[in-house]
Amino acid sequence: MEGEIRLEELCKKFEDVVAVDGIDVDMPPGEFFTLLGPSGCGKTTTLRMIAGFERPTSGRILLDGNDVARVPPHQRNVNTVFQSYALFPHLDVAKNVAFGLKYHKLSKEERATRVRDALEMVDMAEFAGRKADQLSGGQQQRVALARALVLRPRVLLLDEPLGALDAQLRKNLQVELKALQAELGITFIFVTHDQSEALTMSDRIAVMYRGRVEQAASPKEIYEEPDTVFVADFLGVSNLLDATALGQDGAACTVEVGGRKLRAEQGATDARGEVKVMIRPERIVLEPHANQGDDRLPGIVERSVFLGGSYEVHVRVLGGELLRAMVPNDGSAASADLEPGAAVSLRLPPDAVRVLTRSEPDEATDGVEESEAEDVPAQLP
Amino acid sequence: MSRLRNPWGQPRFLALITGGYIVWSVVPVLIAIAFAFNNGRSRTTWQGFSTRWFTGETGSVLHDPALRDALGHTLLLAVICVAVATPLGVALALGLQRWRGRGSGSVNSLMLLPLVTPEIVMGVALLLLFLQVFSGIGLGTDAQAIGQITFTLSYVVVIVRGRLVSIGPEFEEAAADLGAPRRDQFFRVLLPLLAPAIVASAAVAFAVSIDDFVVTQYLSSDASTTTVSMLLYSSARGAPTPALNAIATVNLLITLLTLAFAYYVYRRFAGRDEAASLATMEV
Repeated sequence: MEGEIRLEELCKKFEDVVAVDGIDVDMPPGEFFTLLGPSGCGKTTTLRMIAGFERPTSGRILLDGNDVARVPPHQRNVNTVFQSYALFPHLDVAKNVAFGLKYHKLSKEERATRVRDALEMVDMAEFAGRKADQLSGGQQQRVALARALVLRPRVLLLDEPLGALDAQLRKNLQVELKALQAELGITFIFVTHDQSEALTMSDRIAVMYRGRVEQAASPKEIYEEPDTVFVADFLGVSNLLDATALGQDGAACTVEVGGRKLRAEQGATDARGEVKVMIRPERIVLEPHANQGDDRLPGIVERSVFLGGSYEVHVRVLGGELLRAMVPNDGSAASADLEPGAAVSLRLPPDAVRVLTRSEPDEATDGVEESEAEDVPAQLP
Repeated sequence: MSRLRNPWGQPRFLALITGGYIVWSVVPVLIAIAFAFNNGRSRTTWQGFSTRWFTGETGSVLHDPALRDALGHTLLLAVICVAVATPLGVALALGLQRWRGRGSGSVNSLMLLPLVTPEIVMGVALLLLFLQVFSGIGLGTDAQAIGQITFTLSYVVVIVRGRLVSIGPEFEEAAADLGAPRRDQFFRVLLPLLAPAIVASAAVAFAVSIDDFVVTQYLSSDASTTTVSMLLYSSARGAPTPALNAIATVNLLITLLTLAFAYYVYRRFAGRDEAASLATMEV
């Protein structure tokens, strides 16, 4: 199967700024592969190197085994959907889509058929005669997709293609894009800073941070078994607590949090000393204060946010850490326990507690709140 | 009873200043144009309407050899100027835009220098250049054309660069991505996108060339290299007839039409905001 990309020791420096710091990634053929990370993590630069717009400082880009790192973009069998679509404003939709076909040896009829098929595939056939600026954002996005796919690339690169669209359209297009990729079987390499988008669409995600790949795995694995503190923090809402690892007890590691001992069965259970432990809010069980004992932390409710199907309850536990617990709105928790000031007990099941040891995120890149600005290198003069 | 002032209204005295300025600057021009149609020889006393100073048998723009030749020479210089300065300016703008290394910043500011240098300084400098260094070229039409190209080039570069900045690199990247080699990236994508700016800058160069006096005067040689502006200057104190008003009117009309055309093309194809910046640049 065609369309495999391998990045080996890939590096990109812009003067003194290291945008991509020696990454090794395998992107298997036919997969929907996502590069996920906050602004400035190097994901867009990586994509631009695969497209050929940036020349790597060092390292190799293997497309089906051939190093294309020095091949100019117009000779690479990969195509890009740009963040701003970059539809040619002086050409109509059909001519935009036909633009690249000039470089394929095709008869006039074949060319027309390919253009029509591509526009039909994205439901834009009736707009063939329109100019790009007479289309809505979502329509432009579809044309950009058709313009790239009509060339039947081995790999399609997508640089935050949904970034400029409103939430509802975005959701619909996420589903459509994923369906399209599955149908065509082309490798999609998708860049986004939106973790839910990445989780929804991808077969595999590489989480990038400061020019490096923190973890590359399936969405489920990334979410449930993050390797690093950064990945845990960037994907979804997690509770990260400072802890001291005391030693192993069978499969579990005993950790001390604010004077209480907990057992953690996930992650680096063989660690000793200063560590972080992580637990997802939906795995924390809110119990009455009377329930003391193993795997529990007592605390005081600071506030409860009603989210419809659930409550997000912020609990200050003994030792001062603030934990967020997702309490389902199914009557299981007494309403008195959800009031601010209520004394409660949080149960942290050992199989949901994960020990993490490396790569601290700093405050500036707190994943979820990250702005939608482009990657740092793109802003360099 | 004092009336409450309307806080949402336009400040009246600002409107007054604006209106006063427009009258002050436009009325003399309108009077000058009006006397181009005077039926007598006077440029101050109205003696009835006629077009004799434009097309009459004697002393008109059309039939007085001095006036006709001056107009012809002015247009000749303008055409040469546009033909050379436009492609050269586009090439320079492209080069400056791509060149991101050391020194590109200072060259950028240097490109603006001819726009802010007092023209008399430039005129004297060019005169010395043609007398001392390029004496082979000598004064006359060639020197006048080269002199005008020297500073109209800056207008072309500034306008085309402005458009290049707003176009950004992504359309070329998209073209490359779709398989277009460099030549096609330029001819199939960049050039069509730049076209309104190129047309507009050519029109501005044309208008600036027609209006120029100082440099053109310094680099002139004999009567055959007299332009309209030079003619107006030299004969204004001699025995002026309304024919001077007539030729000035023709000159003004050509300039205005050219600029209006530039503004229209730019606005039609490159967007309103940029057209506004173009309109404020040309004085």
